[in-house]
Amino acid sequence: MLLYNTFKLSWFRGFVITVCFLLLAGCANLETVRDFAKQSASLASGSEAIDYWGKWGERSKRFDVVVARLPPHSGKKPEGVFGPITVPTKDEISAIKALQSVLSAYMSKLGALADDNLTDVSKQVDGLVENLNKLPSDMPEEKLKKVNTAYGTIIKLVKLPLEVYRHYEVRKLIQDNDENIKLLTEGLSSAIASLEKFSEQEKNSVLNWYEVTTNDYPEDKNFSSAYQWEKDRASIIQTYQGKTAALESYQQALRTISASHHKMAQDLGLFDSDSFKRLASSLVDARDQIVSAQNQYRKAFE
Amino acid sequence: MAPSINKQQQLVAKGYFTLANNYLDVYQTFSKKIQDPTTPNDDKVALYAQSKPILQQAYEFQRMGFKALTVELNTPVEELQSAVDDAAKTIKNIFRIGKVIEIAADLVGIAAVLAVPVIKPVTLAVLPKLVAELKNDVQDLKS
Repeated sequence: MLLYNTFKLSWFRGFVITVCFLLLAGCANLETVRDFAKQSASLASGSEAIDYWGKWGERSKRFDVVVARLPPHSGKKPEGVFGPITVPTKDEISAIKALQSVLSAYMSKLGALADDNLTDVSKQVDGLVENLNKLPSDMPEEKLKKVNTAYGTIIKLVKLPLEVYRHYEVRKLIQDNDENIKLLTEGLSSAIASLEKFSEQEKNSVLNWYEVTTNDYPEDKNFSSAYQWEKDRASIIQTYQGKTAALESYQQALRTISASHHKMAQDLGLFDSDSFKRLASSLVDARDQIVSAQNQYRKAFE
Repeated sequence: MAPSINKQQQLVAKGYFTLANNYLDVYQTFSKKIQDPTTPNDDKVALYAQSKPILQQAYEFQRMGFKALTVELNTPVEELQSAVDDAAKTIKNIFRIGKVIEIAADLVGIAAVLAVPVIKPVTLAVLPKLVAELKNDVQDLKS
């Protein structure tokens, strides 16, 4: 009888170990997907460039100090910096921001679903086992602990089908939405690329204004006015420092998000270690690029 | 699920951004001339006056580009929003399984206090804390 029980136990244990192995072999660690998605969500949530674009008129007032310093010419004060006559409405700005926020929301949920801690029921089970041990029992304490630990191990097996289900959902989410992500990121990327050009030309617009205005309204030709002229010009250039480059990195990062998402849609189904390692390594590179673009963007638009 | 996008609208948004970019390129050539120290002052003033509508037009094309983009991306955005809602439900369902185990642990914890042969007031003192934990976990499960 004892031999039979021992055989039954070892057969069951072997079966459980085999099932665990098979299930876990099919469940690659998704932390690279999680990190990539979380950084993408964070990048997409930055809508400062859209606000910046919509407020050019307000921004041109910064140069009123320079205008005020210039002496009147033939009784006329110089004109301020030329800004757009019409500005986008609040609704237009909100509609554009909504495109970014849906991308951010999608990436944020993908990151949460790809978080391996989501299915980690071990802590809860440990709490259950601890409380089971406190229940009064006729069994000797050592034996009771062993039995309760065995219950806990069986409950922890809940994690395995949950893990398979979660991987299935991550893959389905990515594959179902790949085309939409491509359209959204590429559309936003073209828009940001155009804003990048606009930012560079805004700098030129201000410098052109400064060039023409200081010619029309010359200050006294002495050392201090020449110094002031250079100081003003340098301060104008400083205002635009880094913005064009930050927008360039931002739009490139959006393209990286699109390409990496597509790669995941194609390769995430292949859980053999080699293809997943390649995918994970490219996602790490993509994440680094996104983080660097994000830092550059924040610094330029803070 | 393939998004049903009006391809013509897609071309419209891209077309507007391309137009805006072309205008900005033209503006840049004006700027180079204006900022060139060898350009006579009168020419600078004339070029500056001529360049203003170019920049204004580029800005208008960008506005139209953004407007077209929000229209053409309407369907993908709606589909993505619905995918986000579904993913949130999946996350909640997975979270619930962990919560059910926590509730079982809470109940066993309470049973451990009540099932001892001789209940002492000292052991009963922990009950409110255990019940509060159970209540919180049930609340989390319901939310």
